[in-house]
Amino acid sequence: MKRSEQRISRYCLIRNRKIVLNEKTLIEEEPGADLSTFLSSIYKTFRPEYSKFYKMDLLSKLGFLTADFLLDGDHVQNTYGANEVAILISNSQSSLETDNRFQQTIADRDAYYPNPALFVYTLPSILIGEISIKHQIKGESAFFISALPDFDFMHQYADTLFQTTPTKAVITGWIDLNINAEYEAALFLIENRKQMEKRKRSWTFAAGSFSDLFYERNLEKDELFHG
Amino acid sequence: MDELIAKLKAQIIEELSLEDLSPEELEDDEPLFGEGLGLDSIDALSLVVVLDRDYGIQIEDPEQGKDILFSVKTIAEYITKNK
Repeated sequence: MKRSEQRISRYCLIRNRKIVLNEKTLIEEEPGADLSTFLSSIYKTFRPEYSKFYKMDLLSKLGFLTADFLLDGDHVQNTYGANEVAILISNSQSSLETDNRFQQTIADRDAYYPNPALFVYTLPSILIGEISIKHQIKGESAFFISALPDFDFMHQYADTLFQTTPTKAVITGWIDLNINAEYEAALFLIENRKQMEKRKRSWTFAAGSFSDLFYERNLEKDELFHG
Repeated sequence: MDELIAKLKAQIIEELSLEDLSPEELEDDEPLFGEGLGLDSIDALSLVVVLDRDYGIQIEDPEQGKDILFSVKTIAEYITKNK
């Protein structure tokens, strides 16, 4: 079997008030604060100032922060052209949490005030736009809806991009938020093994690796790779 | 007028999700758009909704909107004149 040129070089998970970056738990908070408070506190503590953060809906804040941890540092921006980085994201609930809040602003015919700031977030792909603006990414992008994370599809789509477009790095994953503000976020960075940062652990570019990392299963020792 | 300005500042922060700002940091005369607070066209629409919903005031002429929404003070003056 031909060895893939690509590897999963970094990944970030955010769920249950826990943030994991490349197998390391960065934050683990006790249950209590709601998602909005949790994300704002993470943003204030860890991330550089970005004036639009507070204007985003919850789904975009979740995706934006996950991507910000994933792309920490300037490796991706320094290594690839803007059109060489692709973003593929999927979830099960689309932008339902925001759709519901927007619907409440137009539900009463006598108090019909569609909220423009909410309306712009009634499409899940907006979160790809927020990530792209922050990290100056202009490559291929797509947002898919599926009941569960489809790691085979994620792998095949990214692989097709590598083979048929100028894409040299792919950010892919699952950013999901339901109407009760229950959430789950996972993003993976896939790069050519020669362009990865040196001395970083990486994982096989395969559906099984996405699944193992997503579900935090123990990975085999042969996954160790030293650039 | 001072009371109205204070109320408007709180509303602007709430409606536009400017959570990192306190009302005290928002100057009465500071431009809300462009080089000032950096609001955008979606924020302008949100302010138009606030004027209609909470003060019963509609901005009929879009050209006028730029002057009315220039700062917290200009919004307060327009509300005072038209309510």
